[in-house]
Amino acid sequence: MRIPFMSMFIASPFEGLQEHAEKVKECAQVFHQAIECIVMERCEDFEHFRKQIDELESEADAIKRRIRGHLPKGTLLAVDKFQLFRYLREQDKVIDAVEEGLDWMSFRKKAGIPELLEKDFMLLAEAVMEPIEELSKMVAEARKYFSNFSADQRTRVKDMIRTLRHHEHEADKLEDAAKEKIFNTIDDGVAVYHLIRLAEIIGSIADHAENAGDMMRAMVAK
Amino acid sequence: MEMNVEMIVLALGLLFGFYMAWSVGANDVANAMGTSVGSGALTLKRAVILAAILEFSGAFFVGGHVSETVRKGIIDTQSFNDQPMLLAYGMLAAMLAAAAWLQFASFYGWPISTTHSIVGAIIGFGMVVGGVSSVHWGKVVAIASSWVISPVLSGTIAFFLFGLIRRYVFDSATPVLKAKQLTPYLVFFVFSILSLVLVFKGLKNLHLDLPLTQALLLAGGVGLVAAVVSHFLVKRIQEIPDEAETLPPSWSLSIGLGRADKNLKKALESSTADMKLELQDILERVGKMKEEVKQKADSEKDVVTYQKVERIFIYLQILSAGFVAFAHGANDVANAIGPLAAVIHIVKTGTVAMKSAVPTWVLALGGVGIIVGLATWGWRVIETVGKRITELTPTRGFSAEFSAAITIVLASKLGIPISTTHTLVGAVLGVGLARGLEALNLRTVRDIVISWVVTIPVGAVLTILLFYIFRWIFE
Repeated sequence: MRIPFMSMFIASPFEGLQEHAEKVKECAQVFHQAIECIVMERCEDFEHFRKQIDELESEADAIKRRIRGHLPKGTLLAVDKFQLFRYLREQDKVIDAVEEGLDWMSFRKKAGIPELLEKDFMLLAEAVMEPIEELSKMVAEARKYFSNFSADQRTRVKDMIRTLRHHEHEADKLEDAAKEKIFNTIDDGVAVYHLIRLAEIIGSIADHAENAGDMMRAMVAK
Repeated sequence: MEMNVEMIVLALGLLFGFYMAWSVGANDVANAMGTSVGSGALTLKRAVILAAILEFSGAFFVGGHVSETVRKGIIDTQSFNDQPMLLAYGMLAAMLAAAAWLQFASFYGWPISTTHSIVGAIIGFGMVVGGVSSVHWGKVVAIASSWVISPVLSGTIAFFLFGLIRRYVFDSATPVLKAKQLTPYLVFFVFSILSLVLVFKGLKNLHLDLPLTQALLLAGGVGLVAAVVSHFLVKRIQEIPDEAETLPPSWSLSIGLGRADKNLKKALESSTADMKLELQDILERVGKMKEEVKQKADSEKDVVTYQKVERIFIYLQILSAGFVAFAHGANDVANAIGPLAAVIHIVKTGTVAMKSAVPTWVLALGGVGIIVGLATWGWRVIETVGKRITELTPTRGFSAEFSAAITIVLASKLGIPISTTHTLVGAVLGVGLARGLEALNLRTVRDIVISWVVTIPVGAVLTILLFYIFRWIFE
């Protein structure tokens, strides 16, 4: 059947982007549960969380590959293709950071998190959840913008990016506070290294979400 | 014996001509109607009926000009004065070659054009049999350049048209209102141009010729009437969605939370110190919730608004689809009818001196062929396109189709055979460049350029081959 006209149309990558963002959100939720589990100190199925993250990661990876693989050379997009890839990479890094955090925690599972710092780490983990949730909402709104290009919609996306940045800033403050407390209360050098690095990794989850937001800002630029 | 050969040639001519018209109807009509079916603007049945009527009208009323170019504009028929039957064999060969090549390319899904095949076929035949000098190279260059110009032109129009819709309608604070304001102007353009084409050139077939100023006045009048009618039609569409039917539930939730927030603030002012702390906590939580719900409600309201805009454009899309069908009939009927008319003339008069116009009944035959193609095969293509291409919402579909239609009509009026498919691809690309589509595959453009390069020689060689076969059989 001769329908040359049809070959022009290919699946929009934004759909995949949104699916990927949902995976990121799920990962962050699992991470939150894992931290809770560690803090409670009776984390028997910590490996279970790692496995879950592992699965989510490979699913997200498949989505990522599908997006990249289905944009042949000479695809005309509403946004720059490389901007899109950069955005996707940043969004993917959120998952990587979650994975790294879980791995890092598993290295000193027995020692866990000292009671003194439990609250700080819980707060930090909660704080990084916020930008992740904002991220998936932002992708949904951005997609709407790319299909109607309305000024209102653009403002909405920009507002969300601003909120995202704000959340990241809050998380940053908590990270710094936690680090200061670690240095001033823990004497064991190994524990300090482990906890400082853990705080940094958790903080980097929010960083990557913020970076993704910045990439989105570039994509919605006029 | 001589008489018999002529009858056979005539019968074959009718057969091949009808086959070409059939393939035009079967393959290309989806260009006009597919997206309207896809966006839900038309049901399949209505689309097919509308297409049938308009394709036939286009072919019958305006199709003659392009047919004459195909018939005698490409090669100098005078070189065949001594052996008119050679020209008849050539035209037969050209029709069969073009149709066969079309069928072959269809099988592989290559974006080749009926128009280009037939033009290539005739050039090939003319060059080999009549000599290089028998081809009107100036005309050929004009036709070939129009193939490049037509997608570029339709793309440019689509780019600016969609850009206009985007900036004027989508980007405004009141998209529905703006869409309603814009509609009469667009309707005016569609109707005036269409009637101008009809009056200015088309009705010549029916011997109803009007001078330029009268034609302009008439076209303007028709456009104006249509615009006024459309103004009142869109006026009935409500701007703010009805509370009951379309308002999203989150909207009333948002209003409720807003009130709760206000009342809590009032309560806070007159509360005692010990209650204050608790109230502040509640207020904070309500405030956060309100923000979240409001965000959701706003975006849901937006969705409703844009659906409304698209609903207005549904009518314009149907209009432009009809316009494309008409223009397509006008331009593409020539591929079948041009060579056929030549064959008929030669068989009937035994000369190639072509002073007479294309007979009306031949145009009608072409129109019928297109309708048969549409009824037997075309509707399935329309259905497929409609199902697969959902990206062309009414605003996008309208922009693309309207631009393509104007370009095709312009070309038909100038008597230049261009490819409808390529023109429409150009128009869709224009919409994409105006950032109206999320993703487009530009390889189609490359394939089209390849088809430009390949179709002409293939059509030419096939025709030459078939010509010798026909001559060997008949002489």
